[in-house]
Amino acid sequence: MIKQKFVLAIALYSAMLAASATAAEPLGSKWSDVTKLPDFFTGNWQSNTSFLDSSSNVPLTPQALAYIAQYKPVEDIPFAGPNCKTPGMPIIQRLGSPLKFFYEPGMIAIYIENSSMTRFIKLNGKHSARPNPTFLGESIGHFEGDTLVVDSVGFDDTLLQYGDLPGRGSGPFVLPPDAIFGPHGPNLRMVERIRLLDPDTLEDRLTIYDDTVWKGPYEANSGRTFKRNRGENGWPHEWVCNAAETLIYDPSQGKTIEEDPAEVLKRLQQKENH
Amino acid sequence: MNVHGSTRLLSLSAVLVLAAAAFPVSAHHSAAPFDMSKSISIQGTVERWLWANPHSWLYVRVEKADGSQEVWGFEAGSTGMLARGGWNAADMKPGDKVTVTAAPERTGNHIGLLNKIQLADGRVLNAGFGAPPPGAIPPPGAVPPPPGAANSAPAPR
Repeated sequence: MIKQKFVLAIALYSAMLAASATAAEPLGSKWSDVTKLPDFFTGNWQSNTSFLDSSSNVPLTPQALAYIAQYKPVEDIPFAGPNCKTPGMPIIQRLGSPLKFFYEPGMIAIYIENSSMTRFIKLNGKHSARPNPTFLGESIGHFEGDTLVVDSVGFDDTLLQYGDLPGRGSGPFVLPPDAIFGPHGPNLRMVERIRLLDPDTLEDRLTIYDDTVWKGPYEANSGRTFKRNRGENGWPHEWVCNAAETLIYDPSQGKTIEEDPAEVLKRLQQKENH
Repeated sequence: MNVHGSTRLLSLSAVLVLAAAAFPVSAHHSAAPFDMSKSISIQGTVERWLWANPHSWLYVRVEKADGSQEVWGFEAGSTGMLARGGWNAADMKPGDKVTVTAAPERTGNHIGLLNKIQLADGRVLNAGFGAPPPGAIPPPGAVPPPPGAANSAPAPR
């Protein structure tokens, strides 16, 4: 009888240890987990949806409405600037060059070819007590089934799209929907749900929480999608902003100046000769 | 000089117009200065093929009928996107004779958004800047790309 109780106790203890070990090692903790993860990693992902948000029904705060009331349509996209300064999240992921995912235990990294930046998503971890501001944010991720859920905080001066002003634009560089971009608040938080819709389509659903801009959670479009490039086209490329001579950005006017190409060519040739 | 302007909305131009609304074609400045409903064709001599980011640029010298010369600048894609489209930094060198098809700048400056180029060796490279990404979902009402929209021959490697 005593022996039976002892065996039972050992079995229970072992089961508790096993459960404890499982709970301590969620998906994304081991090298072998890569075989259990959805294949975000083969090739790269090319955005095939607009980088602009569609209209939203989420009410804006009085602060955001006041910003829009005094908003002057821009002469160029608002994140244009000298030295190709990155627009940061969320726009940078949606621009014309693809994303490439990498994995190691405890981390998924996303190489964003446009700007040659890399996001580092800490898996199954916690946010820092005082995250320093960055253009991609501090990102913590975990898997819910086949969906990678990424929670990001700690943003530098990235811009959010408040809405559109159709027809109000006047400058030659104004985008078709005359999108209004504005600053974010101190508690900006972005939550992404990333999953495969099919083997070659990745969806990234983004919800933005910023109580200085919207009165509730703001979901941008119904979900942006990316198409997988495989083989040679799936290989990442370097992206260095090295054509600063071709376009002059004038901060005082807030716009890019299109110079006479003959002058630009002369400048390029002078540079080569030195 | 050989400049042919056309206001006819070519099927390719239509795709590019819609693509411009739906897809980002520029990383750090807008493509809005270009009139995507127009297409110009320019023959000239390559002065500089700048393989660069955020956009590559092609500078071409054209000789006008009266003997004077103009320099045109054509904006193309980022290096990675061009490479995926079969382009190469060695595709052009100064002195090459080329024919460029582009969307002109609205203000009449000698600047265009490069859509297609016929190289000195006869090869044709397409959609250097405004091409929708591979697998793109066409916007509602988009006209399918014309036959031969893909590059006519891969660049030799």
